[in-house]
Amino acid sequence: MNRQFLACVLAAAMTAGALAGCSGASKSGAAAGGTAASTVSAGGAESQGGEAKTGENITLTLWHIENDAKRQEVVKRCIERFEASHPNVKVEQVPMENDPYKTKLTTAMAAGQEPDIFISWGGGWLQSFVEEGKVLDIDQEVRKISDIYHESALSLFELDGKYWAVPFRAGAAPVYYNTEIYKELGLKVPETVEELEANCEVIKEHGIIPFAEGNSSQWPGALTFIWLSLREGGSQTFLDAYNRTGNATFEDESFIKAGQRIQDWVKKGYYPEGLNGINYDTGGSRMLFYSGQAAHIVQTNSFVSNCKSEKPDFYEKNLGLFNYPVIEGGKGKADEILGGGNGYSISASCKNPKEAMELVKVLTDQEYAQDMSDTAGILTGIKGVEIKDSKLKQMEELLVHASYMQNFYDQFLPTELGNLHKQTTYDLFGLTTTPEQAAADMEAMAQKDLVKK
Amino acid sequence: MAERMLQRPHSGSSSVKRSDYMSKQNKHTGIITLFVLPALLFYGTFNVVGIVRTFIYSFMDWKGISANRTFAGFGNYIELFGDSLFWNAMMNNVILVIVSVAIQLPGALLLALLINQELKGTRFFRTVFFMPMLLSTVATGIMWILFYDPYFGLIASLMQKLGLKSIAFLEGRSSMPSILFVICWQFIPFYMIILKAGLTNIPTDIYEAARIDGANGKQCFWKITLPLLVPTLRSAAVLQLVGSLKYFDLFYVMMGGAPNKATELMATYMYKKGFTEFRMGYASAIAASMFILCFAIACMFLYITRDKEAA
Amino acid sequence: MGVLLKRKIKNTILYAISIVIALITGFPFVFLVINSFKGMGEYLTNIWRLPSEPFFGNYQLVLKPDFLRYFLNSVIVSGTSVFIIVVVSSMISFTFARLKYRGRNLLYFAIIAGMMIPVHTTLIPTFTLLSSIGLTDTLTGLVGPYVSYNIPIAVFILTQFFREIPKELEEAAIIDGCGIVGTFKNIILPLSGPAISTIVVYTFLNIWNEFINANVLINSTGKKTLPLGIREFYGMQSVNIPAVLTAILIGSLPVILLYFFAQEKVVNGLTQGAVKG
Repeated sequence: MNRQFLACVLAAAMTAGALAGCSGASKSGAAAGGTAASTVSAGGAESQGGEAKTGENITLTLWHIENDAKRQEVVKRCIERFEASHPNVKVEQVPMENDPYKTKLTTAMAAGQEPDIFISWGGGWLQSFVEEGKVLDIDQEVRKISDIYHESALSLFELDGKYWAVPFRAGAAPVYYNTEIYKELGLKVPETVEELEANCEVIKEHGIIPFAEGNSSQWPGALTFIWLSLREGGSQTFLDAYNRTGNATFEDESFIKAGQRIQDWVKKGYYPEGLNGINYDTGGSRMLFYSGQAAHIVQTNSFVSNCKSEKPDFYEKNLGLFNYPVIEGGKGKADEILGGGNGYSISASCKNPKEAMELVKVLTDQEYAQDMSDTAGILTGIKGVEIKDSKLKQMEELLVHASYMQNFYDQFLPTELGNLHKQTTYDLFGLTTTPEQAAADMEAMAQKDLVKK
Repeated sequence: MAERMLQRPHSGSSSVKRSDYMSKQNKHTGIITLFVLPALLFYGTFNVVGIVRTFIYSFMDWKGISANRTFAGFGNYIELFGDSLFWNAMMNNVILVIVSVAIQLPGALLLALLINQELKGTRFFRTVFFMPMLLSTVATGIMWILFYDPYFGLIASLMQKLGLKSIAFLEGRSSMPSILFVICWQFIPFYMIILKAGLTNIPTDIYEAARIDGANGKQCFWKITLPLLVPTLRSAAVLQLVGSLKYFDLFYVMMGGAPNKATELMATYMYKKGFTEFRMGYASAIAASMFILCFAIACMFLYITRDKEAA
Repeated sequence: MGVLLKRKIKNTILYAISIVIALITGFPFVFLVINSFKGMGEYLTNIWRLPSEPFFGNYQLVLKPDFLRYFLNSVIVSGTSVFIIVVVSSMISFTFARLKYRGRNLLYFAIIAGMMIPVHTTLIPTFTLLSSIGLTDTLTGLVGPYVSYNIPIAVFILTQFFREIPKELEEAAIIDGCGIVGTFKNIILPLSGPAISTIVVYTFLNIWNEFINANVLINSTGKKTLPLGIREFYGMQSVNIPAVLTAILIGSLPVILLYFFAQEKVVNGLTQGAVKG
């Protein structure tokens, strides 16, 4: 009798604990619900989340990745400016590092505890959130202020004809090179890929590695693949394959040719030995570049800022950059560039969308852009900034004169396909797959994932 | 005489009356409840909820970024069954298990015996031996990425000095062994202290009695130490088994957040599918399968190695 | 020849082996120390040699009040969690090892099964639960999951260990009039030095270095634990590798010191509970 009683007590205890867990979970799950995206109407702030009452004390939560010391200063100043002009609003910001940010945001979204404002890289990643109704439709608001942003920057966050975020950083991913090496070896900045290859041959003969590359995290190498396929096929080829227009596929010869050229370069020794095992984030490939053991590095626009902090003397004396050369006979033009950026979006569940939009505007206005350029040397994609640094100016030229900026494929494509793209490119560099196979794998998954387009 | 002392201590107590408190259960319901409740409350709230929800989600199509879930029946499991990447990941886990048990346990045993010797400076050695465990995974990962760099790494510069060509440790085929080495480096110290604790549990009288009987060092080890260490070894083996099947950390960090076929584990694959590709339902199916697999293997192991003398 | 000489040779060999192993396990620590005194620029050109002149900038960067706060938070969370784990697990393990009741074995297996739960599985449910009771972004909120995730292993180790303790001692105590609780307190616990210290070390390390759950559950700087602080530091100084290495070094020092001194207790605890009586 007592034993049974005990067993019952134990079972009850475990169940009680479990139920407590479950009910707590489903409560907030229901609150988060909502499939329709809510919009910010022009006049009052009516949204699904609640009503904004002006004059009441409001807290806005802002999650971002401006973790770097200098960039944080700039963001802090923006927040101070905003709080000064909106005394009833307090901003809680949580700066994070890239990877932890992604996990944290995803978890928060799943639990319905997302922040009011968050950042994204545009493209497929942002689209996932939009499709789940988690992002506030701010298209109208963005169009009102769109003239202070470069078109290429805005385009990163355009999905299905609407703008879903406001850019605060945008730039190309050019080829950075060591000007001293070029001078010593009497090389000219190449206009075509053929010229680039000729340069590489000379560089190789002098015992220097043509390209520094650390592809352990898979995205650095992908930059080269995208550039090459962009130059071979032109921007439309990729877009057609993505939109499944006509007969366009990911097995288009531009992708295969890009893969072939990469493997060709690997075999010719244009890359460091074991490049797939070198880690960019811990400095492996950067050190090759800074120490003069490698002559070029293809990297994102943040590299300018990083180089300046890491190796100021190299920055001054050796750093140069040029637009990726065109391919003779290829459909790609020089004014189509590869680049990416970040933008602020507002959650659909934000209870104070009007104030949130105001904050976003302050975080991306021209004063911010000037500050970011001066303090951290970052290109923001915002117009009207007086850039004093010559290299940064060059970067801006690329942006301004671009007819089209292609977002990094792994950001642009839906997440599963984007991951596959990185994996196949990694395998191409490692010579463990063929260009044809890589293209076929991409096409196979594209048919699965992009069917609705 | 030494042999008699080797027998399980309690088996000699059959002649002693079974403890009174063990037979008078009825009186002690209250106390039992008191002792059991706290753990259950914690466990029920977090662990049970977690695993139950995982199983529930595994039957859903769910992106993992909102509350929109649709029932998908066994769809995820069927896809999982045909997913070669998953089986590949499982193979890698199996390799990890085998290497762990085959290398870490004997290695830890040797180290435990070493520090058991009470040489001068044992305290120092014990601390230094344990250092690998004290660093966090991210720290260990970063350090070893730096050590393994083919151009600027410590190992590369050593190899250069010896005139050898440096290897890309964290690439392709060599990435798995390279990471395995770091895992052994980090975890052998931990099992060392578990085994050391087990060693210290062995009463010294047994050794004395054995020596009186004329046993030498080797015989002491094989006939006394090892058999008496079996329960500890068993526990350690289970921990390793389970830990290896669940493992995530170093593989994720050292492969730059992007493990590929040679180094993908079930846990990293689950993370990738769930958190970066927004297929949380599928990821839950992976997690559920991991759980079942772990449980089955652990139970099998415990059963096979159970105490042959009836408890 | 003599026993003495043999012993000397044996000891020398053992010493040599110990030193080799100490080098393998200890050199990364040396690496950290050396590079914590180098600036960014020097590090990039010269990783392995001693710094040409000591550079204290890294330490200045790291040892700010924030860092101390992270450290304190970690101490609070880890200490509290470990204490609760030990108390709670030893209680329930005792019942598994010594007492009989309906559903005991089933319960034991149910708890051990908790060891098999993959790491990220409980992330979303835990976060959802804690946020519904408002415990996200608090240290208290961290303790719950940390305790729960470590209970299975603690129970596993302790139950095995308790089962191995010879019953004669308890039987003697019962005859002397001790109740269950008394037996638990006076006989079992003191004898469990090795097992408890193992659990303390293992769970403390796990919790001290835990990142995944802390990352999701904590937002404000004031509540961050050390791993979060170090990661944040890594992000802030992403290109400043020596600074990151310094942060790692400082973050591990307390644990190293703790272990160095706690060792003594472990050994003493053992000799106190002389088994054969």
